[in-house]
Amino acid sequence: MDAAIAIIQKILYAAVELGPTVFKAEEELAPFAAAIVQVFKGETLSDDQLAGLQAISDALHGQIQAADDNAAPTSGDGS
Amino acid sequence: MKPISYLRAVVAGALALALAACASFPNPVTNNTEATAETAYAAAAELATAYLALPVCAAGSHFSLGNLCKETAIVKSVKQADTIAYTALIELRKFHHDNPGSINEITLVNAAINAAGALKSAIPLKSTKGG
Repeated sequence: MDAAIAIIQKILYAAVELGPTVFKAEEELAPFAAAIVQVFKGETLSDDQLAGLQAISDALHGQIQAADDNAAPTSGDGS
Repeated sequence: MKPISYLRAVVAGALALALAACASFPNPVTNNTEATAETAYAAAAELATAYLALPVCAAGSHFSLGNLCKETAIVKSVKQADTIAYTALIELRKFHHDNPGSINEITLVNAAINAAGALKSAIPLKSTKGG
């Protein structure tokens, strides 16, 4: 799972770089934190818990696909 | 700037990293195994939604830390990468559901993680010079 760890490390970097301006991971990824606690206890996630994580992924996918990729640029000086 | 938001974001990321590490023992394959891929996708998708929430860049300008905006071409690339990553995730879910405990799930987990990595790579994490 080295690839997964590498991805998360880069996400951490982005979290620090973009920080409070655009990043709100502490809210949307909170259910993952709860799942981690259970994993640390040596327990297996239940089907309901896994479904909860899947629902977050589904919601994020919906947000991404709903983004307007043909929006007109904002007016201004371009700075 | 709110330092506490930095902290929360970093903690959330660290927890995600911990889950990825804890789920790195694939035998037997459990729900934790699929959760690894869900974590990788959610982390990349979270970053993507943050980027897509930015205002559109004015003509001729580019994303940078001093000019937080989204570029239309990158938005399209992000959406394409997301489609691929999400499709890989759906295939993994179906296999996980239909073949509980199968060690062959690891191949799909790796594919989903790699696709999530491609989604992450589609997002400009580094500021561009002169933007």
